[in-house]
Amino acid sequence: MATMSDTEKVKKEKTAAELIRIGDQKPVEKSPSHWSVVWKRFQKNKLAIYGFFVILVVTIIAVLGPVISPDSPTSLAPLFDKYGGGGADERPSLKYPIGTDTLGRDILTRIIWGSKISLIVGVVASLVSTLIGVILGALAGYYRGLTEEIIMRITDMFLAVPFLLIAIVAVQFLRSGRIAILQNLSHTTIMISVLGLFGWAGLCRLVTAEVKRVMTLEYVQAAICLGANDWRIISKHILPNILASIIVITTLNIGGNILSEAGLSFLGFGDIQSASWGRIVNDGVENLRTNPEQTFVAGFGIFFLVLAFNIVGDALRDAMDPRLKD
Amino acid sequence: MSEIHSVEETVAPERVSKEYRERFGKIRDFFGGLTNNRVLIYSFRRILTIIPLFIGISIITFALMYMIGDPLSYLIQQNPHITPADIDRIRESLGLNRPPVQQYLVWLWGFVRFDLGLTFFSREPVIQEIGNYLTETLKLQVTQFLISLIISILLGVLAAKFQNTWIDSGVSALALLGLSMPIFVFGNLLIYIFAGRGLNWFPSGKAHSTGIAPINWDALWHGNVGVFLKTFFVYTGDTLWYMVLPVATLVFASLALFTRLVRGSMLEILRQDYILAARANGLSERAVLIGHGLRNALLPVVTYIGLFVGGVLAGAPITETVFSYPGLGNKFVQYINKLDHPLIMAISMIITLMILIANLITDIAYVWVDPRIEL
Repeated sequence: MATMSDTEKVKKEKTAAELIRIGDQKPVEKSPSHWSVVWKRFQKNKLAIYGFFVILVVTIIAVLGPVISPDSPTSLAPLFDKYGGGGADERPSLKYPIGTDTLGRDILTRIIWGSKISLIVGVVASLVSTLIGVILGALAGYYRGLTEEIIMRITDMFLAVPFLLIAIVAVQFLRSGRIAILQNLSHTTIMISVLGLFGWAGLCRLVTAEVKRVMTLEYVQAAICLGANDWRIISKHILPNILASIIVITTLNIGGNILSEAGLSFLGFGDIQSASWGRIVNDGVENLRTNPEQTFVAGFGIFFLVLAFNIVGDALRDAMDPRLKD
Repeated sequence: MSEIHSVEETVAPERVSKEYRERFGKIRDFFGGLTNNRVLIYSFRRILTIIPLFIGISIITFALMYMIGDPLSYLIQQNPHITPADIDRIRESLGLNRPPVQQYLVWLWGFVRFDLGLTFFSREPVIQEIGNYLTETLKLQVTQFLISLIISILLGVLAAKFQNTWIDSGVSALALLGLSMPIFVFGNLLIYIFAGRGLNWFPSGKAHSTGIAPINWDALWHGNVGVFLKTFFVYTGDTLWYMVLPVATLVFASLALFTRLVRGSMLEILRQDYILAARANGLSERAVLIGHGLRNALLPVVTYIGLFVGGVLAGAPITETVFSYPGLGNKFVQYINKLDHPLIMAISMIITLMILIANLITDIAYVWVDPRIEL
């Protein structure tokens, strides 16, 4: 018995000595940062990598659009290209792989140029609504009281708005150009402003709740005690700690915004000349029976892009906060 | 012993006769409960918050709609020989010569009195013009809502029960597909497969066959049940037949949200101690899942019904346009190009009101169902 305790003591001393020695040395490896852990977890999700790949491909197509297909998406040249397989409502051919639409425009060209619209509208509109939502949410959650009351009532209003109907009215208003500074807006700008300005309410609510939660934590209390000013507390202590949910919601919003833009274009709002994917589907629906490719190539383009953003958003959520997985 | 006895006495004093309690007990409890009913007080407070929301949304809608353009420009374009005097006269008869604020207030006062005004173009009461479309939209939405609720509860429970198996991944994948599929693409896909050249099973548009007789209620009134039943079944069957494809589209689109919610909520509940206790007591798996699990899991799901109704109603224009279904959303898209102010305001505000009421009912139901919630 005594011998046992002796050996244990020796062991303990040894480990303590070792610990001190290790403490003196420099660590061989740096401990992994939060973002590298997130990235590693993200990479483990095979589906998410495919989604990421789809987004990457569409981005490359959008950026290199003018190089891949130098013709204008509104060019009527294919209409007169009888010998190359052109014409109105032609079936797919080698020169025009998805055929031509009723006006004789090459659909593949339109889809390639349209990818830029979908991508820019989806991403930028989400960023706009994230910006509004985070600023208002942080103000409401940090200052509480009257500020929160006012901001929350406005948020309630935007949450109860019948989104598509108001968006239709707003798009028509921006298209009308009745106010001088709002004249000559492009399709992309109109869609970004409408979707961005009407889509921030959900995020704002989330940010408010999160800020209120973080505000009760010790490190924020410590920062307040140390006399940090409001801006420093919000930007250095609160926002970095709720960044995960903001990023996830923004990514998931991108898919929703792409769908909304396509839906509005499909209903015939926005620029009629634009090569938006929703617009292409709308143009093709009339010939659904004879030329289904006019509808479904662009339609499934929207589907796969939105699917990719949704998959990546879900994967990001799982990677950033594994507890949320269920 | 005596202490316990005294407590019993104070808690349940026998003040009314047994006979009286049997006859009026329930009613008395109900009315007695009203005076200190927290749910009722909460409901009143909640109803009051609707009013500013409604006014705010109507102001935004009216302002945006007013600024789109002049409703008369369409008319002027149609009639090149119209004189300025005529234009002034029409403007005055439509009430467009008033300042916009006054126009808005007139509209609001009318809405409060359930008077939606006359349309600009046909000069008929708005309610008469959109009444039919409203019933068609409600028919479509209520059907799809019930169906998607049932399917998603089923799928959600299954996915939670068989977590991390192929069933779970299948359900998740289905939800993800539904979430990512544009309604108009899926609707057109259904049209192409089931109403196009391939299988001519269902009609691709409209809500009724042309020339079908509506339900003959008069026959029932006059005692001619046979005629009534015949028209009833023919009409209902026809309606259902036309509703299959739009409802399928809507169900696919709205399945995702609810399935995910039910699954998540169910997983949370199945980890609780009382589920373990129920299993330990030897209850059957079905009793555990449905009696103990689902009943509690549906609580958080209820909160999302309001949000869901909003999303679905606002999404109605796309589905109804794809299937050229004579509903509110479809008409809204047509009227917005004509700038028929009373119609646009009526449709958007009726839908807003429905969303607000759905939110209200959701909140009240939630408080009513779960007494733990603080007010």
